[in-house]
Amino acid sequence: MTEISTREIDQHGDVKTEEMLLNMGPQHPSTHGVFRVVIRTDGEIVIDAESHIGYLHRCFEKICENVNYTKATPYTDRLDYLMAMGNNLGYALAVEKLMDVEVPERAEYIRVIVTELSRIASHLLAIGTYGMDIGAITPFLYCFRDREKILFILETICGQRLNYNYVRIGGVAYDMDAAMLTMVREFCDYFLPRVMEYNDLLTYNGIFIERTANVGVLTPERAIAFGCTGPVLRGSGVARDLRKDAPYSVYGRFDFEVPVGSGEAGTTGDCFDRYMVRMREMIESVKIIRQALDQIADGPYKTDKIKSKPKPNKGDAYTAVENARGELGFYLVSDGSDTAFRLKCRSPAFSNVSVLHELCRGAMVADVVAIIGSLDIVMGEIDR
Amino acid sequence: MSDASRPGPAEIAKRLQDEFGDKIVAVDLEAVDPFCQVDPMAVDEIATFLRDRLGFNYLRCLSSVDYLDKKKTSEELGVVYHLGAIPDARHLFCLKVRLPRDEPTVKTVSAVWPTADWHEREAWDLMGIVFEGHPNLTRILCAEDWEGHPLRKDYVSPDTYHGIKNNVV
Amino acid sequence: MTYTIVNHVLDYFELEQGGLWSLIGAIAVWAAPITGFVAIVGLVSIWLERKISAHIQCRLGPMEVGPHGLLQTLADGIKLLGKEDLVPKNADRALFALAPMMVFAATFVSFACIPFSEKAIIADLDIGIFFIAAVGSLEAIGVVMAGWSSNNKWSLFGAVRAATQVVSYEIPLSLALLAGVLCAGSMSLVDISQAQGGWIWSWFIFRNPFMWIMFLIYFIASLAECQRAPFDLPEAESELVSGFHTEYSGMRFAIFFLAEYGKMYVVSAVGVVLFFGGWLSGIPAIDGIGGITGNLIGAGVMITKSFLLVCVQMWIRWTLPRIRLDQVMDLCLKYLLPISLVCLMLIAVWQGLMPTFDEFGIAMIAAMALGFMQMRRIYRKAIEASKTRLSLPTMKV
Repeated sequence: MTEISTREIDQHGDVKTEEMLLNMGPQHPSTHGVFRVVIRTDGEIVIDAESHIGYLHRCFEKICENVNYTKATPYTDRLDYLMAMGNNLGYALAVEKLMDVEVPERAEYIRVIVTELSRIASHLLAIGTYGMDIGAITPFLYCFRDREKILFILETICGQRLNYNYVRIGGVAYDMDAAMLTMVREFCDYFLPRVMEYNDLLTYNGIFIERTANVGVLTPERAIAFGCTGPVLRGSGVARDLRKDAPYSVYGRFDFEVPVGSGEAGTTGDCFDRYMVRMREMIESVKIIRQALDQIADGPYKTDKIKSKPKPNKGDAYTAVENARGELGFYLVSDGSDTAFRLKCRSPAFSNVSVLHELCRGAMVADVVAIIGSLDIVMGEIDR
Repeated sequence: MSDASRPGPAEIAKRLQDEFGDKIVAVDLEAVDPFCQVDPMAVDEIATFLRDRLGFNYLRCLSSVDYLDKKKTSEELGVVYHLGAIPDARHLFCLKVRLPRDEPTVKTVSAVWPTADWHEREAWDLMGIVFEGHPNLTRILCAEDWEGHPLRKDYVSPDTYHGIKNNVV
Repeated sequence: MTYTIVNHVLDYFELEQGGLWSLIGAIAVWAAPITGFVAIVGLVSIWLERKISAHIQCRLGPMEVGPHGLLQTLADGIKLLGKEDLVPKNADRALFALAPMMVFAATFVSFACIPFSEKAIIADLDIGIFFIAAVGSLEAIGVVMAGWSSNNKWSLFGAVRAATQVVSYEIPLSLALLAGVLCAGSMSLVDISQAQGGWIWSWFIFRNPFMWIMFLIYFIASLAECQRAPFDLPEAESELVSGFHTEYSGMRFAIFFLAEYGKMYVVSAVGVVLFFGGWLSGIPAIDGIGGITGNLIGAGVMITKSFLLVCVQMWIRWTLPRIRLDQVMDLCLKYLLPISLVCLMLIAVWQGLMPTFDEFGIAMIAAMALGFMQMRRIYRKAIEASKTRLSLPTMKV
């Protein structure tokens, strides 16, 4: 033993070290679900990382080919279970696109309000768990305190806390009454100062900036090439937001900014930028909600033209919406029956996480956790 | 890109036909998403052309479709590429390929758009479409030893998997 | 050495000093109560931690078992006792079993030298501080043993991190300890405490302009020694699952847990002795009482002060994120070590040249209060500045 190592020291001028294969997940506190990364490390430095997904696969697309359009809506809830409203909306829009159906205006406004509330809830969870990944546990509970308020509002509106099944084809499931609208408005007033509180507690913390700035830098070119969307792409400085660029529903009527990363704490496209984009998007969402509350008018909340078993026209179409994690697309092929012939779901986190191995190279083991957290993955929609 | 300078679907289709001739099998500009149906073995060249010359730097979605319907009018498989551009969100196009059921092979576009890597693995995993030249065409969502391709219309789900019974009636 | 209770008891039974009976007597009179004390410290600290974290996080914490959940930790301890004793299949069984004991022993032995009051000390060693520093670092060996024997890569990572961190922070920590020794001219903790007799401004932290820097260094280094956040890398639960104690469960895990809280108390108590006057309350009339009453008051003062420092440790843990390994080393080797060396030299010079007088202590307290207020102002400004730098939209309510 001693002899061998002496010889090796003579040969290499250094002690021979071995690489270590570290299996992170599928059960790991920071992989945000059953996600597995195999990392090859040299001490604390990551040489290579490989992602393995599919532990939550349930063949959502096959299920949708076997149940009719209305029955498939609850399954879309389970894709990105942190922003189920956005999934409902994307799916409803995809089916409506092949149906020539006019959705009442009130329904569109309600859709926007609940989607943006859902987006805030999703970003709150992303920010809270990100703090926890970095090691700060308290912001997580602060974020959950406020997320709880949103979930309560959504529960009041549609009776569910997580899997809403609220945005239906041709409208929404139930109307929102004045009391509910007041609740939403009160939440907006309550929420903005809270964002400042998170900033004081977490964002401007020196250790937090040290841990996230210049870590996991994603250049805009690579981000686009890997199909990253949402805060991951915007964190790299590309202002792409489907709500702004290709407005669907009534998003064209609202005035809001698209926050992008600018390397304010380090390099453009680092973990801090992605985090900060989410932080700012919450404020923009509040803006949208307030405008929607001002503009919403009375009227029907769903169209009467759609029966319980909608039958879209024969054809195929791709519909995309801006979800909390990026572009959520549904490619629907219809054969004119009441069941989808093929429904492909393009989930944003699927593309976002495919860039992980590039970001992890050369980082430290602790950074891998920070990078995974900043991509904000939801395994429900990656594995579908 | 402003609305005026952005090439419309008709112009894109025309430029593709000029460049690739009979490799463009069919053009449909009346569909909801205007598309060109192209030769599976030329997808990579066409994709490169679209990316470098027409500004489609972003592959939005890659879908595999099984066109086997109940009346058996078609037995083909297909791959649909939805192309987009960043940041120009209105610059859109769609490519389709049709593949024979017994030997569904298409050129990979993972070198053109790295995001296609995982999407193509998914298409192989769930639909059994072979992407020629793909660096690592392995199952991604299903287990590595899974048999068959679940999204095919003629797929029969197994009764057991490693002794786990399928209780779905 | 003070004439301790053991000697009284041995004299009473007319037994030989220093023999077997002396050992048994020592165990009966000192080891047993100290074990009890460590356990109580553990219970109270864990309860405090839960309550403090809960109130920081807008929660209530344990409320069900006992008034305000006081007995929750006890219930948890009983639960842990009842758990199955699991050892991983490929673990090194002997080391695996030994590691928690090693860690606990390192903490436990330190209690021997900590004065609770003038007379309530087990062994007033002449090299008390040295002994605590030496024994305290034994803990690292226990942690490495735990990490290695678990045969788990996460544990190994945790163990290596612990070793790196503890060995590095030992240096600034020891230098900070030396500062106190310099001021008192003794390594005995009792002597050090007594050197701070008199009014509150006689405490070492006000003795000269550099001691408070030394205290900060001591406190930071002691956080790293205890592996508390933001230095909790060895058990970073979001990175390394649970670090070196990933594979431990049941009572073995509880022992690790107890040792951690025991260690927190030890470093806080040493900090109190070195910088905050030990068991002295800072009011000569109270400190001069003497006798059993005086000793009891002293013990109360000492324990209160120590727990205050423990609470500060908890407050920091629930506020700050975790530092990365390279940043931990940066902080230690680039900042703490040079600063502590310079401070130590300055303290030595000050101690040699300047006589000790009360007025200076009063001036120091005033200066520190002023400095604190000024720092607060600068910090507020810095926060405002960083807000504009990061250009988050200013929000109106």
